[in-house]
Amino acid sequence: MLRKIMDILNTSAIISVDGLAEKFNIDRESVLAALEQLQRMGYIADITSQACESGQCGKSCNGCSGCKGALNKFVGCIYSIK
Amino acid sequence: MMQNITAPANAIKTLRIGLLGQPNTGKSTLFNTLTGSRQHVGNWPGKTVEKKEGIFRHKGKTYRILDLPGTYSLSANSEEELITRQNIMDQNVDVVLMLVDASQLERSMFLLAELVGMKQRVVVLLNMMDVAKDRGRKIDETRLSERLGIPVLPIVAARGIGMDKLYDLLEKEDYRKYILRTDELRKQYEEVFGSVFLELEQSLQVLQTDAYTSMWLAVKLLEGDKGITAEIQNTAEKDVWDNIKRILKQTDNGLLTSADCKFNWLHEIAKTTTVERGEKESILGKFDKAATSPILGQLIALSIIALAMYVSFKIGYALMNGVGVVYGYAMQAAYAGMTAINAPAFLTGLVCDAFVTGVFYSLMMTFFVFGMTLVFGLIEETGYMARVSYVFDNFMQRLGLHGKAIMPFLLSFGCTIAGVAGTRVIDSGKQRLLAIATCWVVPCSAMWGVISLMGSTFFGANAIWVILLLFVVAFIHLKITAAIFGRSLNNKEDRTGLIMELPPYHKPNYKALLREIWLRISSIFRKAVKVIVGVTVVFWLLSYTPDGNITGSLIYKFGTVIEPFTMFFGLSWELFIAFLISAIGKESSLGVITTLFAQHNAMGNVYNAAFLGTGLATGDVASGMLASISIPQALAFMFAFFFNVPCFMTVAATVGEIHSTKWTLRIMFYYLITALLLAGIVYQIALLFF
Repeated sequence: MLRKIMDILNTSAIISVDGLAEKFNIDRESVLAALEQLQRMGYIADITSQACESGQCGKSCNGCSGCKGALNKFVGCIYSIK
Repeated sequence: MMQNITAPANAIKTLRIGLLGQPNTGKSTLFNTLTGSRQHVGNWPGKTVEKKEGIFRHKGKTYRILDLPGTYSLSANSEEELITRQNIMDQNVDVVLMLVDASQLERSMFLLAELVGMKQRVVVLLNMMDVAKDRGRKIDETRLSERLGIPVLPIVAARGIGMDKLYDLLEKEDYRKYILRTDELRKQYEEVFGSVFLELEQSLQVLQTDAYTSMWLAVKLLEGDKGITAEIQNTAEKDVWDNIKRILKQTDNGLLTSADCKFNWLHEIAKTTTVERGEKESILGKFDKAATSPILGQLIALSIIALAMYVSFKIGYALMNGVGVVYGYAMQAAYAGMTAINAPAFLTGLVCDAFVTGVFYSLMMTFFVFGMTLVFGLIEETGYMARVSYVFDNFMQRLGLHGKAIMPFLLSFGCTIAGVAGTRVIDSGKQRLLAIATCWVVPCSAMWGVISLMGSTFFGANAIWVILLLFVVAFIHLKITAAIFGRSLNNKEDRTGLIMELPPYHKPNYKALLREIWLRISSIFRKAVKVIVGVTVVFWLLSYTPDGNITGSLIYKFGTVIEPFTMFFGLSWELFIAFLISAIGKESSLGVITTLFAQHNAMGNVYNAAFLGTGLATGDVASGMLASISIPQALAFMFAFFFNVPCFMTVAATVGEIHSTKWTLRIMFYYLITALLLAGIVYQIALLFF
C-alpha cells in the first residue's frame, strides 16, 4: 500500500484520504496509518505545517490573521512528496 | 498456531524485562504502574537519551524493568533507535513487553514488525482497550496471538486493568515457549523482492546468531541499514560479501519496499483480528460525498461561498450604517470642541476632515472584515472549508498550477504577503513563480473590507452583486494569468500529487472563533487607522488652499492635466490617484478618496462649516462622491482597484522570495496594465447601460 500511495503522489493526482480508502477498498484508518508511516520515513510531508512556520513572511504570527486564519481550519493535512 | 520452541531452563534469578513501544502507546504509564517509586532515572552511557530503570516484586520474585526509548523502528537512524536495537541484539533483556495501542492497532504495530526475525521473546500488551471499545472496535486477542505466534494480553495501563494476567505470565515464564512468527511476513518479502530476498537470505545463513536470523539480516541489508551493512562487511568472508553486494545491486528502494511488506502484513493482521462496529451512512456522510465529488462539489462550494459573501456583506453593511450615524455625531462633537477652544480653521479642518474621517472610515472597513470573518469563520469551524480547498485544487491543477499552490492561495485570503511566503512549499522555482504571479489576484481580508465599503458607498445594498461579479472575473483573470505566465514557467514534470486529509465535520468552537475574529479585526483596524489617517492627512494637506477652493491646489492642477488620459480607463483624476495609491496598501485608497472628494465636491466638509457658515452635514464624503462619480466610473474604479497590485509589501516579499527584480517587475506591470484594461472595458460596457 505504501508503494501504491507513492505512485499516486508521483503523478499530479489530487485525492482525499477517503478517496484513497475507497480506491484501495480499505478503511480510512489504514490509509492514515500508511500516510503516517510514509511521513515518519521521510518520504512525504504535511505541507500545511511547512507553510505555517512562525515568521515565514518576515513578521510575527502573533496578531496576524494570515497563517492562523487560513491554515487552522481551512484544511486538515495535505501530504505531498518531500 | 504459536511456534513452540525449546527454551533453556530458567537460570536467571531476576527477570530482566524490556518495555518497548512506539511513542504514545502508554509505555511510561505502565512503567510507573509496575515500579511505583522504585525507579531510577538517568542517561544512557555517552548519550543524551533518558534511561529509566526500576524494579517490582510479585509473589516473592523480583523483576528488573528497563524502559527502552520509544521509537517507530529499529533502523538505527537516531540515538533512541540505536539504543533500543542494541539492547535487543545484545539480549540485555529476557523478555520484551511490547505496548500496542489497541485503539490504533495498525498505527502502533510497525515496531513489532521490526522485531520479526529477531530471536527475542516478546509479549504484546494491548493497551487502551477501553478507548478501543469506546470507538466501537473489538479486538480478538486470541486470533491476534495466533497470527503473531506470541502471547497477547489486553490491558488498560492507566487503570491497572489486566495486570494480574501479566504477573501470572511473567511468573510462569510462559513467554519463553514462543517467538514471533516469521512465515507470513517472509511470504510478503518473497513475493515482492523475489529471488533477491531468497538468495540474500541464503548467503547470510552463516552469519545469523542467537539474537537474529538470516531473514532479519537480509531485510536490514535490503533497507540499506548502514550499521548492519558495515558489521556484515567486517565479519563476512570476502567472497560472501562480494556475492551479497552483487545481489543487492539488483534491487532498488529497498527501504520503501520492505516497509510496504511490513505494512501489508500488519494490515492483514489488523483486518482479520479487529471487528468494527458497523455504522449506517449518516446524512452528513452523504453530503460529504456530494461535497467532495468533482462537479457537484464545485457547485455546492460556489453556492455556499456566494451565500456566505452575501450574508457577510449584509452584516457589514448594517454595522457600517450604524457607524455612519455615530460618525455624524462625532464630527459635530469634534467641530463643536474645536470651535469652543477657538482653534484655527486650518487645524479644525485637519482634525475633523482628515483625522476623524480617517478613523471612522477605518472602523467601517473593519466592520466589513468582521462580517466576513464571522461568516467564513463559522464555515471553517464546521470543517467544510477543507472540502472547498479539495474540490478547487483539482481546478487549479487544470490551470496548470502545482497542487501545492493551494497553500499560498489559502494563505492569501488572509494576507497576500503570507501567501507569497507560503509558496516555499513548492520545490520548483518556476512553479513557485507561477504560484506567486497567480496568488496576487486572491483578495486579502483588507481588500474585502475596502471593496465592500467602496461598493456600498457607490451602490448601497446592491454592492454585493458588483462584488460577486468581481469574484467571477477574478476566476477568469486567474485562468488567463496562469496561461500567460504558465507558457514559460509550467513544466509538467515539476508537478506532484497531493493527498488531503479532510477534517471531520464538527460543531463550531465559538470561543476559538471569537478569538480568531478579535485577532483579525483588531490587527486590521490598527493597520487601517495608521494607513488611512496617514494618507488622509497627506492628501488633505496636498489639496489644502487658504481660500478653501481645491482648484487652486497643486494636486488639482496635476489631476486636471492627467485626466484626459485617465478617463480613457473611466477614471477621474481623483479615482486614478486613489488607484495608484492603492498599490501601496489597499486601505490607503480610502484615505485618498475621503479627502479628495470631501474637499473637491463638498468644498471641504468642516471648512465649509467654519468659513462659509453652511453648517455641518454628515456623510459629505459619500454624497460628494455620488454627486460627481457616474455608475460607469464607479464600476471602472472598483475593477481597477480590485485587480491592482496587492500592496507594496507584497512586491517586496515577492522580490525576497524569487530573488528576481525582473520577474517581480513583470508581474507588477502585468497587474497594473490588466487592472487598467479591465477598468476601461467595464467602463465602456457600463456606458451602454447607464
